Formats: sequence, C-alpha cells, structure tokens
Amino acid sequence: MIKKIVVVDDSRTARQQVGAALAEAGYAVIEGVDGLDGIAKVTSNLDASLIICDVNMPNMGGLEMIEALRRDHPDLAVPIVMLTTEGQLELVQRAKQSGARGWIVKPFKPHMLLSAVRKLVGDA
Amino acid sequence: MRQDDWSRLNDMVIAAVGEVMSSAGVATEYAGSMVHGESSWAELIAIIGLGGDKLRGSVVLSVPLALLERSHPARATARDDLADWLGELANLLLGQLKSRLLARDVSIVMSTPLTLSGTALRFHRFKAQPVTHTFRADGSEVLVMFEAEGEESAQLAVEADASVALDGGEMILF
Repeated sequence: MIKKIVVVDDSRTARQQVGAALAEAGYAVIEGVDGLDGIAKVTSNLDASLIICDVNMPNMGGLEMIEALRRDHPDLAVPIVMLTTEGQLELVQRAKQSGARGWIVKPFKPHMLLSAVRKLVGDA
Repeated sequence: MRQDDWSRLNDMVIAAVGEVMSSAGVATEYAGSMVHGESSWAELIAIIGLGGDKLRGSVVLSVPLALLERSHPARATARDDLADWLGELANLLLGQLKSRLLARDVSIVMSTPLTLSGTALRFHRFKAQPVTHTFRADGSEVLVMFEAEGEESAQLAVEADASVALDGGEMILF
C-alpha cells in the first residue's frame, strides 16, 4: 500500500519541491498550507505515515500546530519532522518536546530528506 | 550598536545572499553596497521582517523575473509561482542571517515574507538607514536592502558560537 505523507508549508514552491521528491520515491502527498490547514489534513488522514511541517507560517505556525496536535490528539502516533529555514536549537528543543522526531534546515537535498523519511516511516 | 558591528552585520547579509542564491543554482558576485533605499527594483520584490530585543527591521530581496524563472525548482513561469519562489528565497535568506546572528548572541524572530509586484517601486519610510547590496548574477542584478535599528548597547559577540543553531542543509533525527 502506498504510504501517505502530509506536507505542511505556506510556500507552494516548497510543497512542490518536497512533494516531487516524495512522489518520485513512491509516496502519496497530502498538502497543507498553514498550521490550521495542516491540523485539518492530519485529522482527516489519520492513516498518514509521516508529517513534514514548516515552522514559520501564517495563521498558525508549525510548532503551534504540533503542540495542538499533541494536546488534542494525544494518541496520534504519526512521526513529525520539521523542515524549515530556522536553525535555532531552542526551537529544535521545543519541537522535540512536542513529539517531533526530526528537524531539517532548508535548503534541503532531496536524498537527505528521503533518507530521513525512509527512516521515520520504517522503509529504511 | 557600534559602527563596526553594523559593518559586520552587513557582511553577514552579503555572505548569506551568496549562500542562498548558490543553493538555488545562481552564482552571484558581490558588486557593492550603498546607503540608500532608492534602487531599480525588479518587478517582483519580497520583504521579510525581523524583530528582537537588540535588532528590528526588514530585508528586501529583488530578483529579476528571468532569474527567478531559471532558478525555480520546477522551472515555473507563472507570476504567482515566481512570487512564491521569491518569498521562499527571502525566507531562506533571513533564516541564514538569523543563524549567523544567533552565533553572535543576537536573537531575532522572523516574519513570513510578503511579495509585491509593480514597476518603478519606491520605498518612502524606513526604520533606519537602508543599505542596498548589489550582486551580479547571470547578466542581471540581484538587490538586497537591509534596514534595521539596533539597541544602542547591543553588540555582536566577537567569537561566533556555532553551537546555538543548525546551518542550512543540516538535519537532526531524535
């Protein structure tokens, strides 16, 4: 069965970049445009294998999104990896405390993203 | 903030532009800086704000359409796609700058980018003296305006501490 990955980023270009790499590797991609939309996409795709999420987004940021998911859906076991231009370790720590499993700083190389994805979805 | 710190700050901006454009496949050559905000802006510009206890301001990125088309990851040509790409480049630029500032003990928060299109664009109000950096790229010009106000007592740490932030392309799995 094709594994689903939710990609949340306010930049269409970033979603395309990530989506193209994932689609080429055989994953199905569901896109969210900000944290609020991301929550909606995650909660309507609870069988998703992974969430890839930006940090700085309008309406709701990625850290607030994963904190809300953790608070409102404590049983949610989907791994989350943050993909962002932010490299501040304080923010990395905050994501980790909210249950994120990884942090990648843009610009990313597709092979690096895919190695993280395969590890986190159990395809490594 | 002391004049030599402003100089170092602008050096950081220049270095960050080179790295970001290079990551997008665009080789740039620094061609000089001027203290002014009046430039021949491209038809699309992106503005991204920064805030913090020590430093507040904005960065304006101007990249010609042809260069945006050539560097777009999916080779998109639609204006909306190019505007989005320019916004992402501005986001990458400020992300790079933020990491460099953190290493020098200056913490900022970033806004999300805003993109504008138009001809003969002009800015009419600044927080502080704007510095516009010019880069040659593939026969055209990339312009980056950095304008910010700093706390008088704020200083950039002399020694960079690279342990406080990850660099572009780095990954951590927990």
